Amino acid sequence: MEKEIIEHGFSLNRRRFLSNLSIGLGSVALGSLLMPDLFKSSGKVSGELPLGLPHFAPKAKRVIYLFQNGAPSQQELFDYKPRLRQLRGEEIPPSVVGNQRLTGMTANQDAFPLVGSFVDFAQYGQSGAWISELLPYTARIVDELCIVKSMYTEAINHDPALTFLQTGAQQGNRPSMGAWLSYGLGNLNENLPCFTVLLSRGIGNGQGVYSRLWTNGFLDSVHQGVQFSSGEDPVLYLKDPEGMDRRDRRLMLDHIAKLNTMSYEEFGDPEIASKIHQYEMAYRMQTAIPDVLDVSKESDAMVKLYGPDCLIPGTYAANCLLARKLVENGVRFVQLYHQGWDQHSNLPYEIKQQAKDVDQASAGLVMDLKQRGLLDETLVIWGGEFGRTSYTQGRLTADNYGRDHHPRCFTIWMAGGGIKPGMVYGETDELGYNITQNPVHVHDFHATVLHLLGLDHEKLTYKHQGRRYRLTDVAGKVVTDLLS
Amino acid sequence: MSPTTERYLRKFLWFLTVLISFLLLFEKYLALPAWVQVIGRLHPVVLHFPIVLLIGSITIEFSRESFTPPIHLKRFLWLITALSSALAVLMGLFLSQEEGYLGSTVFWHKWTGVGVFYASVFIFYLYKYLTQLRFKNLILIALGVLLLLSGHLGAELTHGEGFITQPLQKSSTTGTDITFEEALVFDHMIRPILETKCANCHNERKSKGDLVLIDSLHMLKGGKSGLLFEPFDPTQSLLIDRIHLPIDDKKHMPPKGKPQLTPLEIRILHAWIQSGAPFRARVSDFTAQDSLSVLGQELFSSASRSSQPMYSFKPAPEETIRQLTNEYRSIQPLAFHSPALSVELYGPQAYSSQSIEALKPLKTQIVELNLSRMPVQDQDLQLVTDFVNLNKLNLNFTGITGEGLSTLAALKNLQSLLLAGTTIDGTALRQLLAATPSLRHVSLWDTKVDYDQISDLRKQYPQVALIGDFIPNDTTRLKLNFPIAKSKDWVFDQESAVELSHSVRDTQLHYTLDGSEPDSLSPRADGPIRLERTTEIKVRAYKEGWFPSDVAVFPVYQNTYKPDSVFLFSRLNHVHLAEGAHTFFDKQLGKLGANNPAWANHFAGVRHNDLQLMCWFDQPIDLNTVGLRIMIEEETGIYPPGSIEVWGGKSEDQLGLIAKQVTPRLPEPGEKASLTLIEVPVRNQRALHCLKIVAKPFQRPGERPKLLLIDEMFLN
Repeated sequence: MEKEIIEHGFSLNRRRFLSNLSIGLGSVALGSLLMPDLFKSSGKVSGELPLGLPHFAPKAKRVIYLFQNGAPSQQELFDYKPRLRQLRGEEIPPSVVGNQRLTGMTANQDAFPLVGSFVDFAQYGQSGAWISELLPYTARIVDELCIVKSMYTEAINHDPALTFLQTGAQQGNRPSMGAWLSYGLGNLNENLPCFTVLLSRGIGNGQGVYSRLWTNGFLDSVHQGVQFSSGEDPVLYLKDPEGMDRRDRRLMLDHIAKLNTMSYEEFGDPEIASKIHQYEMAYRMQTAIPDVLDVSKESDAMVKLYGPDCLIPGTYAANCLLARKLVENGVRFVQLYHQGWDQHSNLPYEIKQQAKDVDQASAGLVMDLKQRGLLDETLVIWGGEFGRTSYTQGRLTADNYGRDHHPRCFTIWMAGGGIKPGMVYGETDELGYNITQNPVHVHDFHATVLHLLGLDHEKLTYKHQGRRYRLTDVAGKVVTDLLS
Repeated sequence: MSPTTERYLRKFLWFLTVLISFLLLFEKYLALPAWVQVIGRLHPVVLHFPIVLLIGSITIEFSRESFTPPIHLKRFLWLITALSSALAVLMGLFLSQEEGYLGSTVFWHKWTGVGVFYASVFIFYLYKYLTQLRFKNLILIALGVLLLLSGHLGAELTHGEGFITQPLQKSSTTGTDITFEEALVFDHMIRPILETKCANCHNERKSKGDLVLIDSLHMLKGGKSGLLFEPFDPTQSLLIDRIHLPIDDKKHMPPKGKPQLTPLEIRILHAWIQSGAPFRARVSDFTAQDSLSVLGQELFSSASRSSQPMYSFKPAPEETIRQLTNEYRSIQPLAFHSPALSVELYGPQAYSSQSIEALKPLKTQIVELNLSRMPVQDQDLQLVTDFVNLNKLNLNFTGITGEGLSTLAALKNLQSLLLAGTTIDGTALRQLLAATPSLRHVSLWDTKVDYDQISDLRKQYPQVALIGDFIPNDTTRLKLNFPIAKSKDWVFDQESAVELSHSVRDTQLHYTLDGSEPDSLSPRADGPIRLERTTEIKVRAYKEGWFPSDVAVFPVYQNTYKPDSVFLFSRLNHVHLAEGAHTFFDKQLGKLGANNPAWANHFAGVRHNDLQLMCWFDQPIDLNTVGLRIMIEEETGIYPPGSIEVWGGKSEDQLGLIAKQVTPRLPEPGEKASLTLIEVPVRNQRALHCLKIVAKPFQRPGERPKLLLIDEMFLN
């Protein structure tokens, strides 16, 4: 009976229905008067901001990303785990591993013996950060650094992890960090590319890097990373050919630009506009680059700061010096890749050499920027794509071992550009396997970097194939603890 | 109330419900005209009605059967409740579109309020069945709680957090918690003074002289003796008058015997009236030189650096910015909506004083200026002083000197000055610091200011960060890296020239050619070194202030006779094919690391068979030695040949054994990989037209043969 009563109550007679219908429609009509843009196709959705400017006044204007490709082993560099040494050779407790997805390289191992670092650690600076003896120069500048020990990712192999860290997704069709910054902030110095990439390689087991990591994805190709060559001439064919006058080149470019513009007007392909832009930039780079990249006049003090390798083109130290010069001249995003950190085996020997390659130059770069008063405006990031396992890969001998990939925790450091200096953020458990405090996901890292450059990571979007993409995809929170 | 009226009210409720739902759904697109905004502002007034009506309606629902009003009356009450809450929600929605309503408090207040509204509508429409519901009481109580929550959040929005318990809190409005950027002039600077020193006798309950000193309304009204103050004119203000009277004067305020105003408080009141006695202004609205701002700076700490600085000047016209931007000068606002501009100059060859002078139209808006590496001279700095709001100035590696520095004192807002790489000295710096109190950060690396002067100045000006060398007077020595050698012919037939150099400037390179270790007494490399025989050049680099480098070894090889044709009788190892038979005389030398990558490393290899190479010479040769350049890598099983045989003759049918050598030395286990030259002496064979070289891989009995890798052969 109850049910019938209720049903009766819900029933509506025609008069009532029509009356309510018209009242409702009138109400919606009245409401829509307050929304003039409701049915406009390009509705300016609040949340979109114009491009080319920071959303709020930033600390950092430029970024130097010292990417350590291959994944440096945090247990040998920054994450001090004396317990691992005590438990050397013992099987890692399954409770610690949980149901981690292991890589194919170690999944079939019958034993997972723990192994501690073969080098000693000591505390440095006011924050008392633990740094191993492999990084003496970094230890000296630890008061400028913010060391984040609790980074984590989902990817377990290099390609997806690299792609994830550079583009915000493991599938590789998206713009990279530098491309997003170029898109969001624009170029400071029109004579140089906005986003440059420098490669170097150490003797350790290396993994390749490829242009997908500095691609523009679906953004205009003007936002692409420009890879400089590792040889004597970072940019080839800068000089006009013998017998060609500079004015001739100018005329040639003007004519080509006219033809291209005609094409652009006819087809509207944005790539044509990019091409015109790139030709102009190349023309300007012909004069700008030799001046910017000339290291022959660097003083001895500079060479001492970065280490004498900095004058040998193609080395990491040389790239650090070039990075400083580029940044001094207004390049927004300089990315260095140093390959060779993938120590699956032979770790003690290889990592010593890898660390030696990068230690002095990275520290030198930070201090050089600080001396010039540029550190406040330049964000320097150092780190790899994931960490390494606390158990050994392959055979554990008295003086040799290796480590496999480990996505659950890894360490990076950042300096300058609005980051709180002299700080160690995040903690891992005593086996260096899981994070116990303040995890920072790759998305959070991206959100924080964008925030430091004055961009709201949720508002820097690009509509592609019907969806608004952003660097942080659908996640990411700014880690405010790291901001000064 | 007639049924018709009730019906119309019901329809009106439906109308409002649909309207509110629609507006909530498409809130993003709302663009309200001004008169609608006025309606929105009535929200704080209108919301009191639904609150009371809801409480009333809920309470009535709990009344006893015998006491309860008739059902149609209760239902009507719910109708009125729903209607009034609809109006309140509608106005609240309008109000929330105004600027400043963004945080999570607004979010929750809005949605709890909307929830209350929908709940009341629901209850009204289903009122008949409400009484039959089992958990009717629960719903009503939940509604009450929701109302309380919404109301509390709304009050928080208006009065701020902790309003109710504020008197119990430690008084914190005098600057310890309020940041400079947040501080309001009246609320945080004036009111605390009034509350502590005046309000005891001049409040609403007790108003001596008919004067109440607790809020703007009363202060503007004044008291028995007249108006309290004359805005902008402290000298005509009664307030200032009274507090400045001699303490014994009867009219002096506060009266003798009560706590007196401190000098700071007097200055604050004075400055406040001087600035027009604003009641709503923020401290940061005033320019940095204004007394109120200065006093505010004393009272309040500056916020963390991540808050936005407030600028009081208007933005520059976009057209001007666009015109002045070119490829050597970039002008950008600091942020979207910010009037402040940051200017950077590039391209030293394009620079002239005009580059700075052209920026005159933007002189109020320029807050940051980057002139690093430009050939700026002292006189150009005069132009820079036009930019009155300049905060950051980068003069790294410019041509300014100490004299030019003093002109910068005119910039009253200058906080950060970068002078790295300029020739300024300690005296100029001292003068600048004395004349420019706004400075907070000066970069002095690579200037003529030495470390001791910097330390002194640091003590004298503790609020200024003076950045000098990272390691002052650094005396650590580093080791030089390897020297570099360049040559056109590492393999030559008559003679070769090798140029030695080093990446670091002004190094001395000492070398030997006889295989001994070079030291600083060995001959110096002073141009190309000419060599006529197979030699190993050993070089070490020296420089004052550096440790000498390790020894670098550069071998050059002589190959007098290049065969006119070659043929390999044997098969090469499939990984080490190199260029086949042509590998051995192609002048391409391989590197260590046989697998790196194997096919391009110029090493030909054999393992399971001998290497038999036949060479023909059109012109007869006189052979003395046969050299083989091999790789030795014990770890991976690459060994020197077990034996080498050389056969020679006038033709391939007439070959005779002319030399034979068994491997001289086997590598030790753990030995480092190396590239070695094995030379087999041939006893003066004359007029040979044909040569056959046989190299056998080394094999221990019972073991797999070792790999033999040869990249070049030399016939001398």
